[in-house]
Amino acid sequence: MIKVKNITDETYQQHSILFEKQSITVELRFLPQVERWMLSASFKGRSVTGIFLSLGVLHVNNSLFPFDFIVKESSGTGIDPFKADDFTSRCTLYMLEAQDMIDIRGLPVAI
Amino acid sequence: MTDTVRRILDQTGGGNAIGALLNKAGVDSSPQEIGIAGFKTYSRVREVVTRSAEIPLSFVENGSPLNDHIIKQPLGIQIRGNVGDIFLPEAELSATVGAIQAEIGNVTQYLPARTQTQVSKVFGLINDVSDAIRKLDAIVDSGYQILDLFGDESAAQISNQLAFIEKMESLYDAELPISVTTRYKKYNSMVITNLIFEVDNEDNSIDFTIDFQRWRTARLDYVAVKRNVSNGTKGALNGKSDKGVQRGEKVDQSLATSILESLGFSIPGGE
Repeated sequence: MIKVKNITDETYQQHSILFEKQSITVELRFLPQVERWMLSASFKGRSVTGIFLSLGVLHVNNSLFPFDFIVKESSGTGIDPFKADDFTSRCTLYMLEAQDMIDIRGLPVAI
Repeated sequence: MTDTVRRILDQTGGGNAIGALLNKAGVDSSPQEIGIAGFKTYSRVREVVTRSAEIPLSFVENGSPLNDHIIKQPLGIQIRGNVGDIFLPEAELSATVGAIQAEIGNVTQYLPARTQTQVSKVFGLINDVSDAIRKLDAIVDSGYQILDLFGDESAAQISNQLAFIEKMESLYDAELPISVTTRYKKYNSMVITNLIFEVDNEDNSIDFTIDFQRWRTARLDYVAVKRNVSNGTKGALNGKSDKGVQRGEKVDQSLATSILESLGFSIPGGE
């Protein structure tokens, strides 16, 4: 598991995360009107778009990627990220790696 | 002309005297090659290409863009035809000879007299070939007469019809856009919307009707929004900010295990 670094309070940002000698493109958007953070990810030509970030859930599990994302918050309120500066203060985005996915699914994952 | 007469003419190849006369009279009785998703067969076909559009029934305000109101329907193709029990495509040799004869007939008008002997030799060769073709035609014709007595039940012919049916059914089941070649054009991204077979036991033929409709896709185009947008959007329309490439920060194993267990996942080796 790794922690995704350098998430700022900008409303539309793109991060490239090196993964198994390849790259995952992650787009994070903050929608101020509905006060939600949204994630899109693409890997090896496949993509998943428009996933609202919430606490305590796997976000792209249905897409059968060899990775996933979870959000952890430190304030103890249990409220999903809803402010532009949440990822610079109380929330952290983690990316589960292939071994984590094998542990969760109990099956080998295709990379 | 009835279908039966056409069928008889086709069985005899469409190249005999009667067929030639009918062809001169503008009656096309020859089988035509059709191709659907790579499968080719010879068949008499009728192709119907439909392009339609809907326009509003009500009055449109004068001065408004007219093409906004014209909604084009997807291209439709209907192919009707008959997969017969006997297929006799026109021999390429005879077609070539016919073309050469016509060309030489034209050329001789302009050739000098001294090459007349050469032309005669060429005609002689062509006549020899034509004789051979006629002999082959006679053999084939006699074969047809025997077939007419007993009916054509050869495995090859049955397999051809079966191959056609099975290919079309598999295309229907596959739910994939395919290409359809008609006499004049090739249409891509066509999907079968209707597939009808009518088996005629009287003459061992299959009448088919296949309707295709074009599968249309639209490409999404995104347009960058100008940066000087209203403050009221609170940055929702800001452009994308590239935060670069990263490996991420490795999380300590005990923290990772506790995070996953807090989500309800039981991790092997975890506490």
